[in-house]
Amino acid sequence: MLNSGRHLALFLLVLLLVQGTPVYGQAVLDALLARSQAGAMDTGLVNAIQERAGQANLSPQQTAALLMPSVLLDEQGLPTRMVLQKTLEGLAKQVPFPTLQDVLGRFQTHTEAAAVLAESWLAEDLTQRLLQLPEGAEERGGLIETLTVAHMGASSETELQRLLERLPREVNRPSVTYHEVRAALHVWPDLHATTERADTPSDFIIVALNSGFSERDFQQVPGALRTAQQNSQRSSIDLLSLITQQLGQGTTAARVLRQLRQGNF
Amino acid sequence: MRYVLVLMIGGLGWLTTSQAQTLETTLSLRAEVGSQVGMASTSGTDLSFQLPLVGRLPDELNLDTPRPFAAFVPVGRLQYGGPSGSLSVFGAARYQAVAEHFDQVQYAHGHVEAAWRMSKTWQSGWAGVLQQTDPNQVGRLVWDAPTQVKVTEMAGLAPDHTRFWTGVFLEATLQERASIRVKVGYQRRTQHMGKGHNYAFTQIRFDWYQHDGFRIQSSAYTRFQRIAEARYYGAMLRVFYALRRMQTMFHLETEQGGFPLLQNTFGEAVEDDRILRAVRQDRFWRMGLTGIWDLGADVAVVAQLDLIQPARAFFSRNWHSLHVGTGVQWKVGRRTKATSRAPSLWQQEGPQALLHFPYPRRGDLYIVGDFNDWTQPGIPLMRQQGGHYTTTLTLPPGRYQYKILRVDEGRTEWLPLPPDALTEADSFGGVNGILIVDTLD
Repeated sequence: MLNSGRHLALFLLVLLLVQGTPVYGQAVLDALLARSQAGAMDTGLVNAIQERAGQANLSPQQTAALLMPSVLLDEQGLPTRMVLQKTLEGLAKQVPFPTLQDVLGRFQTHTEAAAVLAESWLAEDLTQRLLQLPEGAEERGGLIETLTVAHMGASSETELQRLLERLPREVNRPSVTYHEVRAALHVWPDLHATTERADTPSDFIIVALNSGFSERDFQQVPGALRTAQQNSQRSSIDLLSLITQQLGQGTTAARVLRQLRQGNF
Repeated sequence: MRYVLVLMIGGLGWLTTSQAQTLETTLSLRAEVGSQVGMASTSGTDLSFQLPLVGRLPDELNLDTPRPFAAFVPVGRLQYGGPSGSLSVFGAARYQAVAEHFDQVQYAHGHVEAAWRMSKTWQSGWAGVLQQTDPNQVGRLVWDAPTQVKVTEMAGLAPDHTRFWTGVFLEATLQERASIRVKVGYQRRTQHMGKGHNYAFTQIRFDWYQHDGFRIQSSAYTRFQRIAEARYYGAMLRVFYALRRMQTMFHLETEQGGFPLLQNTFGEAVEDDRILRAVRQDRFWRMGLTGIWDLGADVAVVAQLDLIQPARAFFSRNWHSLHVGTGVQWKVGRRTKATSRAPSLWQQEGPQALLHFPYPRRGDLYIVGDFNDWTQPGIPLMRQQGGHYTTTLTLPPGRYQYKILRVDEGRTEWLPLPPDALTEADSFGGVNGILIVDTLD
């Protein structure tokens, strides 16, 4: 209730200032910066955004609008690093202001949704046992960021929820690490080339984790799959099914990746 | 007129690697078919025809080090004319293996050559080269110790001459655009019917990369050979002679889409040998023009014009040569994309990541990403020989996004990432490169 009240107040303030004078715009920006300093945001990144927005000739109102998603996330106790970095990236690439604002807004929405998923997932004992997550906000924040990426790329939230339910129940390799699970979740959206056989990417993720895929192995899968698709003229979902089957039969990660790159199917 | 078959078989290369890393190797097949016509006169005319077929074999392997291999098969050459009115047919096959290990220490080159020739002589031989290089950055010191043995036989008799040489050179990169190389070596040449020669040589080479595609290379070569020795009780007097060679070359290249479009080389070489003749001096200049038009789909058309003109020649006949060549280059085989060569773009050494980007002749490049908060211009990439850029980043374990920025006279341009790079969408309609620094367990 408190949060929604703050959101509304901030929204109205920004709305007013977007239409208002530069003086008011500067006042809102100052207020927003003060709130960012009161929270856990990286002030170095915030200052960098302020400075580079000025260099890009953005008005104080526009700068405030770029910072708003991060401030709102921070006030909910959610990670802001990814959104702040995306803001800096957009400024570096001279992305037009409306596009940048829209992208940052989507990041905020997906981060909030991912946080809800993460909280309920982490509350399960099986998940704790799988991740063996050390106490600390850093790992939790990293997981939320990963789930944000997965959430943005998922065709539906239900699919992501199903994967999260399956992971602690079906991944049984004791040495699976938190970083490997994160890497798996990170590439999972890229494997959704088609909605047909929607479980196939999740099946692959689970079998690959059980087969000993490393972080880097996971990161190579989408590209290798594209290469295999071009070389073998087979659909990515077919290839994914095939390598899932091979991994289930004991083929190593290195061999599967090599086979994908060579397209020998 | 006499025809003799010339056969030269040779060479073997080795490689050394210092560390087992999970790296990928990419090998592709390339075929090149072309023709070359050459003429040389004043006392005669040479007409040659060349049909080179160049292959790069075979497919990719998953070895501990990137190890591209190249095979060159067969090269046919028909030559007619010349001072004695000779006719010759020449064919050659060359197999070349090149291994590169970019982690921190060394890479090695080797090649195998085989050739046959129908001409006035019969010849066989072999040669191998081993060298190690430390590819670092500005201020680097490269050491190289190549060794070569070549045995040449003429007309099926005993070896006509054997040549062995070894040496070491140090290369210092003075700054991004300049490097200086000092080479010191020893060579022994043994002739079948005569006395062997031993000599030492030094070479100083200076390279200056003036601009994208324009390079000036100047080198001075001096050979020292003992020709006499006198002893008088405990004293010894040795007399040396020196062969000096000065060469300055200018290379001008342009490119289109990363593909060389025009290559122009011109320069002058002066060689002064004071022992074989009272005075021996050859001076010539050479200008070459090569055009390579990339037609896409791994096919390119190559055209070459090469003119060599001596300004003064005492030892050899006064000659000039014009070569015209055309060819088609076709890369056969599966090009590995995205993930396949991605690991070779970087190597992790503890908390450091050595990045390697194959951008030929691209000017001043920087890497920018979330690891430096997208601060421009970013961390400079250092141009290395062979058309690639490297840098070393010290990063904590994690997953990073980056782009490559080109800065040219104040203008900036985001470069497309190499096709081998790991990438992901950046949410703005473009892509970012991905760099993963593994957790150190």
